[in-house]
Amino acid sequence: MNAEINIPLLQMQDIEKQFYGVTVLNKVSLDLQTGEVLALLGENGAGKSTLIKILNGDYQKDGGAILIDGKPVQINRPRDAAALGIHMIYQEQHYAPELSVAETLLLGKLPTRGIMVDWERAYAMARQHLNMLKVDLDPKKLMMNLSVVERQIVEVVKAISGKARIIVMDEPTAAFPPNEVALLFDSIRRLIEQKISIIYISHRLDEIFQIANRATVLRDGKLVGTRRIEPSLSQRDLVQMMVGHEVARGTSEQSLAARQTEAEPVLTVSGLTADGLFENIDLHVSPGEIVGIFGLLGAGHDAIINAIFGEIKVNRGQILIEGQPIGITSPHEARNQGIGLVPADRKVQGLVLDMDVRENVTLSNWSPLTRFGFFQNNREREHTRQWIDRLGIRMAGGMATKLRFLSGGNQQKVVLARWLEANVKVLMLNEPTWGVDVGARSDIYAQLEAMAAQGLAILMVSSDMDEVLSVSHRILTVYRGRLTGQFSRAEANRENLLHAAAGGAE
Amino acid sequence: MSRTGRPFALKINPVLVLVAAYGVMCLVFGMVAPSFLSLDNFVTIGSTLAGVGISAIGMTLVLVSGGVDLSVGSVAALTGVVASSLWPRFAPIGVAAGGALLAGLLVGLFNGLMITRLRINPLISTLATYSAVRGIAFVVSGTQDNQLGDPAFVWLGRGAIAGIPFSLILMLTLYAGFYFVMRYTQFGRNLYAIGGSPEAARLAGINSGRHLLIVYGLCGLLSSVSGLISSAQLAAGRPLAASGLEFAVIAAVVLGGTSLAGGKGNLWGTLIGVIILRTLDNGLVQLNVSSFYQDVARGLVLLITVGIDQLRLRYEKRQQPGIAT
Amino acid sequence: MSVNPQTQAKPAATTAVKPRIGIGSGAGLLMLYLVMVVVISQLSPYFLGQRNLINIATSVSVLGMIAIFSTMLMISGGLDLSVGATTALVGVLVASTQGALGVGGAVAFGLIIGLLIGLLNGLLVTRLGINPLITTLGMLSTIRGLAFVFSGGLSIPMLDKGFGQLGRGNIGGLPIIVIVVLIMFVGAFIVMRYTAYGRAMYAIGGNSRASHLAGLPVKRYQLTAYMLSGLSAAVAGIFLTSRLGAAAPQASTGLELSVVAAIILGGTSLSGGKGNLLGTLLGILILGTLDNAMTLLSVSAYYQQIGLGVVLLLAVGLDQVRFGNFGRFLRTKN
Repeated sequence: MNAEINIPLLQMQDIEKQFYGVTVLNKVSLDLQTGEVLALLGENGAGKSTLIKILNGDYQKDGGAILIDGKPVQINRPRDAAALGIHMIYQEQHYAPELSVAETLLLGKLPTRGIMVDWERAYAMARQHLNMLKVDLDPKKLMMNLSVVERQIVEVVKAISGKARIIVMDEPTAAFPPNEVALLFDSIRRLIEQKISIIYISHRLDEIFQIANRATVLRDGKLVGTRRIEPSLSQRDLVQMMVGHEVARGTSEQSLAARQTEAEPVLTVSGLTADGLFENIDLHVSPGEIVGIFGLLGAGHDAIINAIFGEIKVNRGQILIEGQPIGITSPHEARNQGIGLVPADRKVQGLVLDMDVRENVTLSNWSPLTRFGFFQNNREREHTRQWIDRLGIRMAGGMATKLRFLSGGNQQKVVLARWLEANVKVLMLNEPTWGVDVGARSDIYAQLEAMAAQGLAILMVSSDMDEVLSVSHRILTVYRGRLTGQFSRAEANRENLLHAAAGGAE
Repeated sequence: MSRTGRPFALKINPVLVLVAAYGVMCLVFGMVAPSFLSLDNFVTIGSTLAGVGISAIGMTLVLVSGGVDLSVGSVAALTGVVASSLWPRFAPIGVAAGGALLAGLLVGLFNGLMITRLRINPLISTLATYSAVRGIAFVVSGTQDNQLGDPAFVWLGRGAIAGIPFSLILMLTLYAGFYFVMRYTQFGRNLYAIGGSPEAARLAGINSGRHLLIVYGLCGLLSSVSGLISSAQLAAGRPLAASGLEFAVIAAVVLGGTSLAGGKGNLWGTLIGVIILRTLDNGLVQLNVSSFYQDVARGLVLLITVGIDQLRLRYEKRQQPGIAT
Repeated sequence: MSVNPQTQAKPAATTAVKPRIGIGSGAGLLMLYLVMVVVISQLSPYFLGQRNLINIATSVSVLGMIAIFSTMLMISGGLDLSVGATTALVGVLVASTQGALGVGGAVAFGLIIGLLIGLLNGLLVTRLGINPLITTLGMLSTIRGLAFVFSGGLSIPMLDKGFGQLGRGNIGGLPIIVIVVLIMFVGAFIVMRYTAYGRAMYAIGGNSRASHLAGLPVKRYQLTAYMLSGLSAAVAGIFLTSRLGAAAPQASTGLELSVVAAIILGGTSLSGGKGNLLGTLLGILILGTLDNAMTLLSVSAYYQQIGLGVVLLLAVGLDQVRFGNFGRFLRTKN
């Protein structure tokens, strides 16, 4: 991938930004050449989003300069950025469900004849745009009838169709299954040929190594450095730059080998079926075991733990806790049975953002902390302090800090702490480190290991193969709602996992 | 893998369901009160549609764009009051009517400003104008009903062309016009975007503020037209007029398939909703039901229609399983 | 050029002061109230008299009873616009059945009705998932209609002297009604601040999904909040009837607006999860004082209605500046 070494297409020089007196960006610089893919890396809270939002006109910089083609520009609003050819693709999908694909692509810019919309031309234009990515979608289809992946692709097409010169992609593949990443990368390569540059933000280092030319790393609001992606650079080098210190591997080999437990399973699931989602699931987790469930998007594996937790209706099958069949119809009952779930989307499903760390940590288990309904403040603080220390939760104002001020990784730790505080027997996790920075990730894995060693049974759903491989003692694969494979840690590797998860016959 | 079954009625086009329900209702009324199923009666029903129906157009626009307007009844009343206060002493009937419409437009724009500039929750904002405007209506009218007997004016409400009430013709024309706007103009499509995903609309560069301002202004204006027609029919401007209009209009609009959450809805459904509810009113009167029970009935209808809307939403949600096929 | 306050992220530094106490906004409100008092006392010589002050306290007590529990409900993310209608209906029912059930029985009946109305509201919102605004709006119309139906549109007098004492009697110089409200207030305050129930209200209002997934029986809590709201309206209806000596079907029309205005003025957020009772208390005092002043200064009731609308707008405008939330009430809870 050739990049011209002339005046860079984009230069951000010594960008500074403060919020209420706190410095969030401290003289950060980056440059982007025409026709290159630049990865922007850093832990959550490092300043990536802020930098991007400044580029996009959502925030105003307090200092520094932005140059396009060597000339200084003012970006005060998103419209200014769009006019300069800067386009954002966000992590969250924003779309109007009742509009068609064509309308979504041409939102605000529908072709008109007089005051009427020229639908024929609109559909033709939409097809044209879709063809740029070789996407086979009916432009008349309503957005709400598309799959998650299809919607994301429409999002990408949309950005591309707007005469962009710079496209910023923020975790674009977060919801993609592995084989569709290739599709996106093909399109990116095509864009590069057209001299469009990409700023690619992702936690998935393997993707970065596949697609990026260079990587810029931020840490704590400062620029750490920019490196060319070439064979001499390793993933650990980048991680070290992001984190600033040596990062231990997910789990030590010895502790894994020792986990051949003979104990009675705490959780047993047999013949579990939820129509339309999964069928005939049998699994068990023993105390001290970490069982990982791996599947591609839409495999229904996340629905399994939601069903065990009482969130999804089960049509057939049994769930047993310590050998006793139980009927769970709500998370409330699940909790009472000693089952906990760390949900996938912590901001929406996990946390009360306006409450502080203490209140969020104790949310699932008030009885040991209250007498006749009244809170015992000291006891509550003690309990919370315990988890803050063990998980390494970092917050700027002590346990009275509101959750919205914590970084993603620390927020996730709070959710984890909550269930540990609730003293569950079985802990289920749905994408435990999604959107979590590398440092927090290793803290979380370490804690899961520690709790397993103390007898907790852990059932973990993840679409991150590396995570599942490094943390689980046993791995189950799910494809189209059915179990397709079971592997011990020793047997599992990327190929056979992916094979089983993609439906490969055994 | 089998899917959970879905009640038959919800699988068909919801509009057809409504029409069917309407048919059933008419039959039932007809059996109990023979005078119900006469041409005369249906013409009567037709003439009462505009009072709610025209305002319902505005409410549909507002709901689709993600808002709500609880002040429509107060605006309708204000319109009649303003017209009857300006005429005959201060202005000829044309100017008085124009002034009254202007008042409605201004209230609508005021709502729009509160909501778009001050970012006040539309619910609370229009709840406040609901109260304040009603109070203004009382003050302006001197707390009494005032005559609006000009024959040309009254004709607006009571006149007919070829046997069809003028108010009905006006209403249908407006429905056709606004249907066109919603379906075939950039402006209309943008409303669906703003209501369906304000973020997406913002990112696409759509000026939501301007759109919403226009929409609330239109809602005020259309409610004004409704109020004008009603006061023409009464030949008076009453400060107490149109109390409860907001319930009727919201119920009709939601019944017709527009969602309270925004981004979804269409005017044909609204029209049918209006027809159903007005017929219901008429039927209750034919059955000599006391007006107090009518209030109860209106409240119940609102609850039932919204309840069904909710159930509809739930079934639609359940039809989206996680398996990739 | 200004940054849109809604999209601006907050920094990692914390605000140690809990907004829940509302110290920042509360002080401003208090100032506003004091200014108001000074201005009005200049305009009317009767204002600061003991008689008048007790008048204010008494007249806001009915509002206060409802506002206390409506605040709790709003903090948990709910809304009840049917309270005014419930007040009237309960009054009518108590007056209608006083002969058949005796005063005590009638009062008990009225309270049960209030609970049941709250239960119905709560079930419609939690089980059917209907937007609370629309639900309680529909109930408002229905209940109000029923009040007229059961009373035939007429006022019904209360004949029992002892009953009249409830609303008009004093203990140690303070009206009973004021004492009752103060007790309710203190009780509710303690519950919201120091107990699990109170925290549940804040959690559910703050993020009902997360609370649900954390194992809280969210629907149960919401249901109790609606039931308490209905019950408080019933209690208010009983006291009101006692004070007036009769039950009128049109009583408390528009009360729900005053309640919402007072609560939001006091700093509770419409979207839930934030707010406190002290603010509501202040809000009620402000509204009640305004009301009282307008009466003292012989301002027409219709101007009062306009005034209320304006106050509500101001209150919410302030709410916006403080919390920047909107639109959540239009999304039906699912």
